[in-house]
Amino acid sequence: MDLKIKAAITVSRIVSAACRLIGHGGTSLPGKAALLLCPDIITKLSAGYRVIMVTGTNGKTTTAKIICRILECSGIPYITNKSGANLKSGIAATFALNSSALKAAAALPKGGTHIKGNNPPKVSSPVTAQVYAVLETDEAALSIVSPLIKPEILVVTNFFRDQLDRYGELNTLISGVARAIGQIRETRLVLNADDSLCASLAKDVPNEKIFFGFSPEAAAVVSDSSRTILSDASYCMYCKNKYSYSFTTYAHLGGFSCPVCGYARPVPNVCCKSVVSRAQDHTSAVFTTGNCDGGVTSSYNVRINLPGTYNIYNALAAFSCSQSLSLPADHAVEALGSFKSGFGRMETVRAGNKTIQMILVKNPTGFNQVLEHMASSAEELSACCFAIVINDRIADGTDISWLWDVRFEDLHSNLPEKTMILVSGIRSAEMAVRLKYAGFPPSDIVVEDDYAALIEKGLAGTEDDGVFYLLPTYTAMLDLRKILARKYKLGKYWH
Amino acid sequence: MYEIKICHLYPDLLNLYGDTGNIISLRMRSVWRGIGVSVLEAGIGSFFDPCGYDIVFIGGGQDLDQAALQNDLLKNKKSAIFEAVESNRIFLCICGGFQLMGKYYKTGEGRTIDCLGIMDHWTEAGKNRFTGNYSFECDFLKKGSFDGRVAGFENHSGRTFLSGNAKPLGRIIRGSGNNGEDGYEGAIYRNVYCSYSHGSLLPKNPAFADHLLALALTNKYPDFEGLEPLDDTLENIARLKAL
Repeated sequence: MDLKIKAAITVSRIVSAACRLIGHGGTSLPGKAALLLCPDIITKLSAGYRVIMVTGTNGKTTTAKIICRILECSGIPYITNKSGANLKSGIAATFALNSSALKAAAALPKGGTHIKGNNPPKVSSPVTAQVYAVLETDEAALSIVSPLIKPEILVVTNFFRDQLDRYGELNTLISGVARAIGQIRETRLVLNADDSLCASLAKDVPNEKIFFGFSPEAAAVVSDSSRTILSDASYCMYCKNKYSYSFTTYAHLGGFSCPVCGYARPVPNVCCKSVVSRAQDHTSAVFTTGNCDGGVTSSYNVRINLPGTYNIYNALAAFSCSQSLSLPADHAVEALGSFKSGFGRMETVRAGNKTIQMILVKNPTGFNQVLEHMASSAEELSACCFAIVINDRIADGTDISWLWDVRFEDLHSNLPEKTMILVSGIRSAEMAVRLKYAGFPPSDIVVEDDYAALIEKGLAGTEDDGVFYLLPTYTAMLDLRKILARKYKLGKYWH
Repeated sequence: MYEIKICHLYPDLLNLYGDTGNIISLRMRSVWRGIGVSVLEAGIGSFFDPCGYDIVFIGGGQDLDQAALQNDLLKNKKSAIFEAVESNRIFLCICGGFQLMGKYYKTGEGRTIDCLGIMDHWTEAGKNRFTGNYSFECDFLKKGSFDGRVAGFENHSGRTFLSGNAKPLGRIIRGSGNNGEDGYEGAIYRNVYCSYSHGSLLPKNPAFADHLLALALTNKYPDFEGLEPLDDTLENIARLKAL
């Protein structure tokens, strides 16, 4: 290993330790330090890994989590980036801080497990140790990072309008991802067949591809009836004519086809054939592999350890990834039933005889899906309490006008009269206005900017056996999590 | 009972980031006052009735989406929209909608895209985007104790320059506005109000929403005497915090 890399690794470790000391959990500083000392550190250190990158608008964290769990169930060692550390600096830090992983894996006799920093692996790895790196990658950072790494597999979950202040227009973003794919022709692509924007990435590229999607029968069970197609993708991206749909799941996802130029949903290789049941905390479904439109080769009963239609898509993406790696499907099935949710993604904690469920909200499609999940869950909504916490820092998106695209009108009509609804965060005032215009009387809207008081009020407003839904944007989630961790000792349950 | 008809032009294409919040604002502020309100949609291929609507809303869209409607707008709806503007119908045009009312849009590659040409402003692509919370001052909103200050969020790379019949909507207090140079925000011609302010323009600036509603009702009902005041406590807190 050359000196520059050694120096970069050492410095990033010191910076990381210093960050921890001052209570700053960030991974961006150690990564920036490493890149400063050794600009090609990502290329150099990633060379020994089999890299899987996961990108897209929604579901990156959960999909990466499930893939990690599949590797774990298959006894394969891996490293992964921390949630949120998905820009170039975070990825550099992931490699620099885990640089002993390869050596550790190589030293092991057989079998393997998750190698994390200096923790010695408990289970042994195969003789010819292959360590994986599972990297959640920001969709705008992909074109910078992927040519440096040349991943073995790139999983793209979906594209929705998201933080226009940061990403600009969706079409510009997708062009950037397409350009990145143009530079990694050996990479196998795992793509969402039901998303016209995502599936377009397969067009005219030599890469090997696997598509995942819903069957019309499964879609009929989950279809969001009050769905409104936002302008993300109602018109064909090639000839600008309106798509027709044979079925839909949510937002613009479904069996699209352009009546004029013929661009249509590809036949999925991995398919959610049916949705058997939907519960508060999980979904039971049947996944099939092979040609979804007929030549099905195998079918699997799966229990997905999180509720919500969007998590069925995340499970499909991870399952497809394991197919592309030729891992035994049994391990993938086991993983789907046993993975733990990511940071702030439907994390659940008990507070006496009540439940707090924290669900990250960051864009209209995601938020609408959360509202849909709450409306469809078995829980009696009248026993529940809601708090919406909106910040507008850079990581949240500085533009909060997307709140007007969320169907709070539906939430209002699903709740009994005089249900208190809590709002908080830097832009609590604007959130209060949004709720007023969705039909909530101002007397039911309670602005509480102090997070500790917010949690107390929320729990007080939740009936026994009810759920307190805490819906924060990203930076608000980080702050709320700290308070919850202190008060309810969440740390030990949540990791 | 008073009634107003609102038209959302190209609702499935021009609805970028919360633009429909403006329609929600106009609708709810009518409902709360017992004014009948209906929202009609005019998309690609559908008829735009020049006398059919009291308020027309044109939002912003992505470049690709705006290209999709270009043909329909110029071939099928241009003369009807012109007629509606000249007969003093109320228009609210945001971002892309603002640009479409002008003469042309010149892209970064130097290509010129024809716009409606009902107003005399034009737009050129800029290198960087103007993005952020911003505020401006509108003289037409200064009534009683209200200072005419409007809070919004801008996110555009187009630089718009006013000329001829297009007069400024307001003067920039904070942020960039039309082009970052002349200190103007938006444009007005007759009852056409254009702005770069996305999403929550009307909801957190209730005086602006009421100005448009009052104009629409004055147009339609000769005996109209003015809007009933509403309790805007929440809206004013949001506006003052954003200013």
